[in-house]
Amino acid sequence: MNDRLYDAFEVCRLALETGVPLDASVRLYPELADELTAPLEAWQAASLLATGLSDIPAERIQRSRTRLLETAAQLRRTTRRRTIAVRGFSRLALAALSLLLFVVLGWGGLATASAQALPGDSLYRVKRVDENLRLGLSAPSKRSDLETEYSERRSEEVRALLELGREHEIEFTGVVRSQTGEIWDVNGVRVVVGSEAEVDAGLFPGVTVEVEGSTDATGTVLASEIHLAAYTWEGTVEAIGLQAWTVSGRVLTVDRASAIAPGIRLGDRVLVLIDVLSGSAHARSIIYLGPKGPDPEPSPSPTNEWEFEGRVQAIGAQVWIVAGQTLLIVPESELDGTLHVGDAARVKAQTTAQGRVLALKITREDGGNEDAELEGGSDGDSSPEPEDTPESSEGSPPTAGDGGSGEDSSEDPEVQDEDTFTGEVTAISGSTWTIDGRQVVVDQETEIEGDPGVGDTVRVDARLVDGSWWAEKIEKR
Amino acid sequence: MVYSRNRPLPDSRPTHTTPRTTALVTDASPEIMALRALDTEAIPALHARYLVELYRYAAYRTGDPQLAEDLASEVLVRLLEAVRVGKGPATSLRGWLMGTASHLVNDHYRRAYGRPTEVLTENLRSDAPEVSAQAEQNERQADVRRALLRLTPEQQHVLSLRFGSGLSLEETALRMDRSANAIKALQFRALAGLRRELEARQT
Repeated sequence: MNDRLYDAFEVCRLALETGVPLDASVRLYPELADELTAPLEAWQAASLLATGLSDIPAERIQRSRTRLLETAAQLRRTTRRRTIAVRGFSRLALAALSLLLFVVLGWGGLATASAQALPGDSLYRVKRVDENLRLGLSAPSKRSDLETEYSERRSEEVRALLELGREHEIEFTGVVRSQTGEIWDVNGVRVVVGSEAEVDAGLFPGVTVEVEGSTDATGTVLASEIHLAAYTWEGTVEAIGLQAWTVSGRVLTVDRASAIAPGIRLGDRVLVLIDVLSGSAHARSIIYLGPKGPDPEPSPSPTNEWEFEGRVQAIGAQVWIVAGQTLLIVPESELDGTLHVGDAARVKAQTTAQGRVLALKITREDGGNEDAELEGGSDGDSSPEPEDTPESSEGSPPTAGDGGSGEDSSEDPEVQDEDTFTGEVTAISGSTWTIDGRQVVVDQETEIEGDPGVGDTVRVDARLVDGSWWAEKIEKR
Repeated sequence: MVYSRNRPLPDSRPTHTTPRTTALVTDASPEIMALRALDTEAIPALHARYLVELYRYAAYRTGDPQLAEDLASEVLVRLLEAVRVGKGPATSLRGWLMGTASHLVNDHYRRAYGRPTEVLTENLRSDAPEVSAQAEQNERQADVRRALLRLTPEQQHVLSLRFGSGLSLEETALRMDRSANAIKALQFRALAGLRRELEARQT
């Protein structure tokens, strides 16, 4: 019966669309007229919403196209950073070469043999191919660590070339530690920035840059290009959008990869780690600092990396306190998951232009001092003394789960990458849901049952990928 | 709070997210491969081919041209990001795009309203020359949209594919990975529900 009704509806609908009046249309099926009239009237009503849909202004199309092309350029640039360009090799040729080398020589041995190769060595390409393969085969949660390791390796290679006095084209990424005329210190590498070098405007100590150039026999890198790669920005949240935030006048694009602390509201103070991608500022992470307050004056002193040792006093999701020093935890922070409150730790930190201290690396310090004694930085004169920043530790939002993370760390030293929990949905912001104080990312592959909304209690199956929890399933309870 | 650890998750994703149809495999696969490689010709072609359909879909459901533009663009951006990490459409590219558009619209309403109860006053404009007629039409459209938002997301989805994207029953069935008969039934229930909501608003 229902199938006949649905078929009758289709016939009447077609009649309606060809100009036949509604009452005449339903007379095609007089026995079903009563059942057909209401949905046909609804069809007419629903068609009203389609009025004008075909008129898409050209500027909207162009704007959308530009955005997509910019995203593609951004992804290409990211890919360029992540993977090693094996110029002149197609994927097929690379795969064939890899297989051949593996079969004939044993890839493991070859890769090991190439580990110490420098740019210009015959095995250097093998080294880069090996890195590329490892990156491609690595789990998403491990990829960021590998990228960091390989980036540091590029800097080490440049230093090795300089020590040997070998000349070769290089490129590496590092933090600008000082600028004295044409001489810059980038990650401890002396870089000469001549007048012919193409250099982004406004670079200052503390920012991360990409350097392209060549080594020379005098132990110096002659830069051909220096571009801004990353920097931090502290300010007040002025706008929160699906695709962009505004922080103290700066528009920052965000996406699913952006690690955004939960519970941030307009007017809050935040610290943003920004990647520069295709000339636009992209928020890699947004860290909550505290409620609304005056914009701080940027410190004129250069930012720096420095190290110290001490006892772990607190472990939170966004903040650790070691030896009285409040450390902001960022996605790049390399943390020893076995550390507990009270353990001796060694910290590699970076101070931003605004005086915030970011944790770069926290490791166990075997046989450390009982006293939480601070040491000077490894880089000598410019290492700042740690200073108390109580507002940072107090500024973490209550929903960030600081206590929970600390508790977890002390209870279970294993790194968890899957989890199931039940709690209340307290916020839904774009693809990010806050459930029982925890932030999970929801995408099109997330199975959502029961149409849950804010205020509902849900059960969540989640998986940790690249430092973020991705919801596999959300079920309304 | 119930909090258990290390509960094994299923190895495979929910089956409903993987369309059963393979009709578009041969059509979509080269396109996806080109997109994964960030091919400079494939990306503008993707935009030219799908933007209008995505825009019309989103505009139909939201009635907000600016929002529709943002959502349609976001769908294409997410596709690029997904295919770069080996995710994205398993079979039907168009089905994945429309499914993602549906999720984004649902997210928008969840975020904006928790449960949709009101409609923004900014509606699509027609080219009707007379202001009074235009105002009347806008008011009527607003009524219908309020009623539409009371339907289930799936019912909204099917009507938006039919009216917004202008798809036939068969095309809608392919996008939603259902049979044509199932779409007929779903559409009929959606329209009956819409009618009830409109009547409730008039009383």
